[in-house]
Amino acid sequence: MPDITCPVCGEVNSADQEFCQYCQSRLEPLTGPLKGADAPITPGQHPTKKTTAELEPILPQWLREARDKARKTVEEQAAQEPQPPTPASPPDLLAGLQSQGGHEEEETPDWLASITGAKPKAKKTEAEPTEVHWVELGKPDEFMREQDEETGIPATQEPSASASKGGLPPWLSSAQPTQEDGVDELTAWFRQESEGEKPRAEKPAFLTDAGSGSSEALSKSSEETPDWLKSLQAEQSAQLEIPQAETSLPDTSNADWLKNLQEQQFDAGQESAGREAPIQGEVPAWLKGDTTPPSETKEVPSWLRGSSPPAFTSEETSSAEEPAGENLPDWLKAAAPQSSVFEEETAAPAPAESPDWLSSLQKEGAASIFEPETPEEGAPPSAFVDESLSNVNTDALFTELPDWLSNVSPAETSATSAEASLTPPAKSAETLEPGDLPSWVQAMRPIESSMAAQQAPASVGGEQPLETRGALAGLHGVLPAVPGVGASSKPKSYSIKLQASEEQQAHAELLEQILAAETAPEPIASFSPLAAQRGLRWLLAILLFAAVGAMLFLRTQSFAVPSGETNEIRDARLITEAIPENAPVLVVIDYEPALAGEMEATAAPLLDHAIILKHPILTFISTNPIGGMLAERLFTGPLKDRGYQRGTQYLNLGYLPGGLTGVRAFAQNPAAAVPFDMDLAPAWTGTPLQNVTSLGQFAAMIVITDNAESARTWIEQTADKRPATPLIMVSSAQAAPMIEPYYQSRQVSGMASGLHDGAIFERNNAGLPGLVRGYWDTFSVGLLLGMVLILGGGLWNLALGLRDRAMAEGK
Amino acid sequence: MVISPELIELITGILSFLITLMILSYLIGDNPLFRIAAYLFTGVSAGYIAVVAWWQVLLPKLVYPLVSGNPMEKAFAAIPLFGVGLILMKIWPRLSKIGNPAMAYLVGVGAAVAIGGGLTGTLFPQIGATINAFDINLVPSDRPLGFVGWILNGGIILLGTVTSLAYFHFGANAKPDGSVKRFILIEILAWVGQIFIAIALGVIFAGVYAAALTAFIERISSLLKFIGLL
Repeated sequence: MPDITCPVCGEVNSADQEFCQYCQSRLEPLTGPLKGADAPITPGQHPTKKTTAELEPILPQWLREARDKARKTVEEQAAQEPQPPTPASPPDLLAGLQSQGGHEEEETPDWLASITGAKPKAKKTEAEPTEVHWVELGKPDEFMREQDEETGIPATQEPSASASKGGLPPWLSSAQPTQEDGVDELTAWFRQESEGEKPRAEKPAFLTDAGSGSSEALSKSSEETPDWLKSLQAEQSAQLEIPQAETSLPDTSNADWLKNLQEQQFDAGQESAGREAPIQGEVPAWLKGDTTPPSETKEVPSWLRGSSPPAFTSEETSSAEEPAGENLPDWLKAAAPQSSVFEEETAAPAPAESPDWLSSLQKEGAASIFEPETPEEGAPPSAFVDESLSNVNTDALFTELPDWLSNVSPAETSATSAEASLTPPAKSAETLEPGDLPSWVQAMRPIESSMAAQQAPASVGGEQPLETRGALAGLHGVLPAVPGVGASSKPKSYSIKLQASEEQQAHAELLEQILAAETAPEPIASFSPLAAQRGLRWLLAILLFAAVGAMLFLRTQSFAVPSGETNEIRDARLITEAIPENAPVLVVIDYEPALAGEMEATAAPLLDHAIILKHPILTFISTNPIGGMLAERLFTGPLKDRGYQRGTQYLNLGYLPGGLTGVRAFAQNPAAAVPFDMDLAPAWTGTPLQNVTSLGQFAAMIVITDNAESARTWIEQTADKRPATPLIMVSSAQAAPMIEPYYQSRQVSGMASGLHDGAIFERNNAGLPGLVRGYWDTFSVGLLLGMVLILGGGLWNLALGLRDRAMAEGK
Repeated sequence: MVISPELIELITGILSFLITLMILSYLIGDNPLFRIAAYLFTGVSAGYIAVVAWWQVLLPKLVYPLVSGNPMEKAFAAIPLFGVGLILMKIWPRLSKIGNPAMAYLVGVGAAVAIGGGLTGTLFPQIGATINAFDINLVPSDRPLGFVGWILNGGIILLGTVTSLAYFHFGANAKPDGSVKRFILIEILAWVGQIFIAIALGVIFAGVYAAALTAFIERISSLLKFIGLL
C-alpha cells in the first residue's frame, strides 16, 4: 500500500494513517456520509451551540502554540504601540475583535463590497502574511513554498492549476483535472461578474483563454479575452449597478435579489459554459457524483442563497485558505471557513484536500453547521445577521476570554468534557442558574459595595436610606422619605370621663328623675269589665231580641203614629206636592245596604207620595257602587205596587265615580258625567231625560243618604248649579243632627230623617206604603227598651257607686 | 229550565236568613259563622264593585269613546287612559314615581273641589245663617211666640255655637305657680259649650240608636216574613 503525502505539510505518512503524524491534518477527505455527532444538520434542525472553552484543551499542540504566540504578539504590540482610544467595546465575549479590524477591511469580500456599496479595494497581488490565520492549517509557508517549487506558479494563482498530480493524494490527483476544468471555470466567471472593474491581472486564466482551459492559458493577458465575454461583462456590470445601490441597506431582502443576481450570473455562466462544451463535457467524476443533476446546476447552492451566512463572512477561515490559493474567488474563500475550529477535529480537513463547501454541495442542507446561535424558527435567513459573529476573530475570543470563562482550569474543563459529550453544551449554558452569575455580572450589582458602605461609619449616601431588598437593593435615596408622612409622635389621649361638679351632678339627677317620671307608663285604673259586659251584652241582646221579635211577631199597632209635622217635614211635603206632573226628579241613593231598612222606610213614603200625586220621572244616581241596586230594590220592595218601569218612568244611571269631584262634574254637565244608564243605553237621549241637559232642569232633587258627609257633598257641589231646584234631604236618624244646620240655613229645602219622619210622611200619604207602620210599634218598644236600659243601667251604676262609697265610709 | 220568581225568592230568602243568623251570632262573640258571613259579604261586594266598575265606568267612559267615539271623544278618553297607565305604575315600587303626576292631579283636583265647596257651600252659608238668626225682618208670621221665639231660637243657636267654639279654645296663660289655666270668660263659655256638645252627642247617639234599631227591626221582620212564608 503506497504512502500518503500530507497535502498540508508534504510529509510522507503511511497509508493506514488517517491524520498526518506531523501536522495532524487529515490525509484523506471525509467524503462519506457523516454519522453520529458529525452528522450534518438537516434542514429545519437547529444546530447545537458549542462552547469554545471546552474545545481548547483538545486543540492540537501546534494550535495551542500558535495561539500562545498570537497572544504574545498582541501583548507586545499593545505594549509597544499604545493603541488609539477605541470606542466602548462590547462585552467580554466580543473583546479583542478590534485587533482584527484591519484585516477585516482588507479582506472584505468583493461580492460583499458590491452588495453593501463599499468600494472594493484592490487586492494585493502579494501573499499576505497569514501566520496567525494559518494557525488552523499549520505551516502555510512550507505549503506555499512547496507548491511554488513544484508548479512554478505563484501562490496567488489557483492551487489546482499549479498542483502536480504526482505530489497529491490519489483522490486529489484524480479530481484535479475536473476541478481545473469545471469548478474554476464557474467560479472564475462569477468572480469576474461580481468584481466588475477588478484588475485584469486577477482574472482567472481560463477566462482570458476560454477556449483552451489548460494551465497555460493562465499566463495569457486579459487582452485576449473574447469579445463575447467582454460584452457579457459589460452587460452584467450594468445590471449590477442597481443591486449595488439597493444593497446599501442591510435588509434581509438582499438575499432575494442577490439570489436573483446570482441566478442571472449563473445563467450567463451557463451560456458561456455552453460555448465551452468541451470543458463541460470534462466534468470530473467526483463532481458528476454530486447529487445535484446537471439540469439543476443553475440553482444557486444553499450556502450562496444565504442559508449559511457565516460561509460568506467568516474572515478567519477565508484568510486561512489564501495560501492554498490566493486567486480563489471570493465566494470560494467564503465557503472554505466552514471547516473552523468549532467543528470537530475530524471534520476539519485541509482546504487542499476537500473543501467543506464541496461537501456542502454533495450534502444539500448540511451547509450551515456553523451557526453560532440557534436561529429563531421561521425567521428568514439574513446575510448580514451573522456577520458580526463571523467577523469575530476566534483567536481574540480565546485570548481575551471573560474572567468567568478564562478562569476555568483545564482540569475542570477536562472533567466536564465527559459530561459535555453526554449533554449538549448549549443546554448547560442555557440552564445557568441566577445564583451562578458570572463575576463580571455580579460586579455590576452594587449590592455588596453598598452594603459595605452602609456598614462603614461614614455612609456615602449620607442620610439617604439604603434599599436592602428587592429590585432597588443597594441604591441610595431611591424612595425619598418624606417627613411628616409617618406619625411623628403618639397622639395625645383625652379622657372621656365627664368632669362635673356636685351641683351639676345634682341637677342631672333631678333631670333624670323628671324624665323618668314622664316616660314611666302610668297604670290605667282598670276593672274587670269583661264578665260584666258579657253578661250585660247577653242581657241586652236577649231583651232586644225578645222585645223586637215579640212585637214583630205579634204585629201589634198599639203605638200611635206621630201626626205633627215639623218644619222640615212640611217643607219636604210641600216640595213634593209642588213637583210638576211627570217632571224629572233626580233621586240620589247614597246609603249603605246595612241601613236599607231605615232608609227605605223613611224615603218610600215620600217617593210614594210624589209618585201618587205627580208621577214624576225619577232618575236615580249614586256615588255608592251599590246605590244602583238599592234603587232597584225600592221598586221591587216598598214601591213595588207603583209599577214604575225602568227606562220609561224611572231611569237608573247607576254609579257616579269620582266622589265629590264626580258630583261636581255631574252638577256642571250631567250628560257628560254619566252618558249611559245601567243598561249602557244613552241616558240623555231617551224619553225620561229627553229635555234635560243640566241639573237645574230637574223639578226637584232628593238626596237619600245615611251619611252627613255625602249630604254635605251634594249640598256644597250642586248649590250653584240648581238655583231654582229644591233639595229634599232624606237622611238616616244618625245623620240628621249634622244635616239640620243646612236646613236652618235654607240650603236644604226640606228634610225627612229617620223612621219618625217617615211615619209622618206615611200618615200623610194615607198610610202608604205601610212599611213604617209595621215597624212603628217595634221601633217604639225598642226605643223604650233602650231608654229603660240606659236609664236602668245608669241607676244601677249609681247604686253600685253609692254602695261602694258607703262601704268605703263604713270601713 | 226556567226558574220561577217564587223559587228565586225562596232561595234568596234562605240565603238572607242564614247569613243574617250568622251575623247575629256575633252576639256570642267572634265565631267562624260570623267570619264566614263577613268574608262572603266582602267577596261578593268586591266582585260586584268590579263588575260595576267595568260596566258603568270603564266601558262607557273609556272603551266606547276610544272605539266608537269621534276624534274629540277619543282625545278626551286618551287623557284618562294615560292617567290610568301612570297610576298602574304604582304596582311596581321602582316605577311608582311615574304615577305621581296622575296622583297629584287627583289630589289637587279633589282638594280644590272640596275646599271650594266647603267655603261656598258650608262655611259662608252657615256663618250667614247664624247671623241671620237675629234678623227680625226674617221672622215668619206663623212662628210660635213670634219675635220672642225668633230671638230666643237665634239666641240659643248663637249661644250653642259660641260656647261650643269656646270649648275647643285651648289657649291659656301660665301662672306664677306653674299652673296653666284659660281665661275665666273662656272657661265659662267652654263650660256652657260642654252642655251643648253633650246635647248634640246625645242627639247623635239617639239617631244612631234609632237607625240601628230600625235596621234591626227590618232584619228581624225579614226573618219572620221568611219564616212566615215557610
